[in-house]
Amino acid sequence: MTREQDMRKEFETAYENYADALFRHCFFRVSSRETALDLVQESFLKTWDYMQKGEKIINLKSFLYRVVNNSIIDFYRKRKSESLDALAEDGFDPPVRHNEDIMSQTEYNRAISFFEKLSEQYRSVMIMRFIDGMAIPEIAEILNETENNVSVRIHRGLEKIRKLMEI
Amino acid sequence: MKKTFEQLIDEAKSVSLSVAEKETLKRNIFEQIQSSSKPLKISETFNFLIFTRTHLAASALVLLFVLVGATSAFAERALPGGLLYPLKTGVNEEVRGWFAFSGQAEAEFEIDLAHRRLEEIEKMTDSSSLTDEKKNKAEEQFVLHTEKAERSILSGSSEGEKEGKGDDSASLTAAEQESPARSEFSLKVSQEAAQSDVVSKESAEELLKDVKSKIELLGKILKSKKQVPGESRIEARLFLLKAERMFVDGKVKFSEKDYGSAAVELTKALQAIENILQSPDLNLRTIFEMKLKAESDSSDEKNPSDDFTQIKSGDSFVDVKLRSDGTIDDDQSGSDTEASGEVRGANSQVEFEGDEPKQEDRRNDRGEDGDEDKNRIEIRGEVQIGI
Repeated sequence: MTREQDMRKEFETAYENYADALFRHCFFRVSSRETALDLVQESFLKTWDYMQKGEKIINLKSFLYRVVNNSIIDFYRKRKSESLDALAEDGFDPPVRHNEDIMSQTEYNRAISFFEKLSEQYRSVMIMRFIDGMAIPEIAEILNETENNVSVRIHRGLEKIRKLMEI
Repeated sequence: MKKTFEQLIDEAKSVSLSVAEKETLKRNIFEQIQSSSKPLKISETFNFLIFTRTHLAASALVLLFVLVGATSAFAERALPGGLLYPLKTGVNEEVRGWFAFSGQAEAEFEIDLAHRRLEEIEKMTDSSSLTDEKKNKAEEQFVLHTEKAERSILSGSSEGEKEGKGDDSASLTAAEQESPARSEFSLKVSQEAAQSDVVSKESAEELLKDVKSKIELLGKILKSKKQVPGESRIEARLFLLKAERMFVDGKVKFSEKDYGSAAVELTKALQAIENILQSPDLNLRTIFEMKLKAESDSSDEKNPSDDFTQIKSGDSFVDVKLRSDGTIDDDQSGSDTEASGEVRGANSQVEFEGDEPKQEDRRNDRGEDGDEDKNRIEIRGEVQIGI
């Protein structure tokens, strides 16, 4: 097998394994299904370009999340005129549920809305920690933060959610 | 709250791509990859054949340089009769000659070439591959280069490159004449050597080693421009070449088991060396004997309890005793010491047990208080320590 074929196989496997999780992550970060799909597509293409250059990727999962995180940041920068709060006020594009779960649409929307109401710095770590199921060191590596900072932000994010849920 | 938060998380985790969405996304990604796929860079999958084909001229040039360089390097080891010998003498040596711009440089270059011819004879003798034809050829070249060197020296003199050349040649001519004591000695040896049954193989072998070490040592000294600056140095090298010639002749005789004749030639070589050392303008005897002593001492076993260093300066003898407490007990015996000088860095070269010398205890040979520099030991006579 040539190097190109090896690379393609590795890339395909990564897509099968992580596309769902990455989409979910993007969705809760940007509150839009369409935007989340675009961001996932963009992130995978960027990763392929990187691999094409012959660069070695040690941990493909972390790399993909890092690319996604950067893509989300770029997305926000393009929409600088709109504040995050304004985005929250304008509402969101709730996903259509496709699973067999008996959870109601109302409960579903409620979950999403709680994350949406968090500010970005807490949202990202909360999503990674509780939805993506990542450990703190992994989050710290992806966000290029110290583990201590990540822990503090998770703690504060939980506090915010608690307050939101008490309302 | 906890239960509610867990429910919240469960609800969030249920968000996912539909099957159709996942397939569509995958299709989009791989279509884009296909459409924008670039050929892999050379650095990633380097194919030597493809590279050389696309860079044919450059590859050919590089290969040519490599081959020429390798051949030239191999040629350096070639001996008369060898395939690459013409390359060695006709090309390599020729090219080196281009960089000899002055008469002095030319003379040194020719001396080096003459030396190489003698080395070739020596190597062929060692490998028992010396034939009369090869020997004659090498000797012819030796004579040719020697004569060229002499002409270069003379031409350099006539152009006024050298100062006091006349004096130098007069002094060297005088040196060539054997001193009475030495001539008697060498005559005696020569007479003895003429009777081959007197000179044993072991004696001849000892003589061979002795002459070889002295020629090598003197050669090193003369090559160093610092030791003997000026034109006298080049002339001395020329004389040394003659001594080398006699040495090689002696070696050839030795290999032919003609120990008597070998001893005669080797004695002549010794005499030639002595003539060079006797030249007052070159002033080589001191340095030569110091280095010779240092070389022989380095191979001797040292008594570990000795805590003093003997420094010899020609016929003078200076004992410098370094005690372990750092005091110096110097004992000068011998009256031929010349102008005062210094031995620097002695402590760095001398191993002694105990603490380093104390500042207040050091004295120099004039009995004055110790110097600030604790590594300096002042003694009379110009010496070099090679321990």
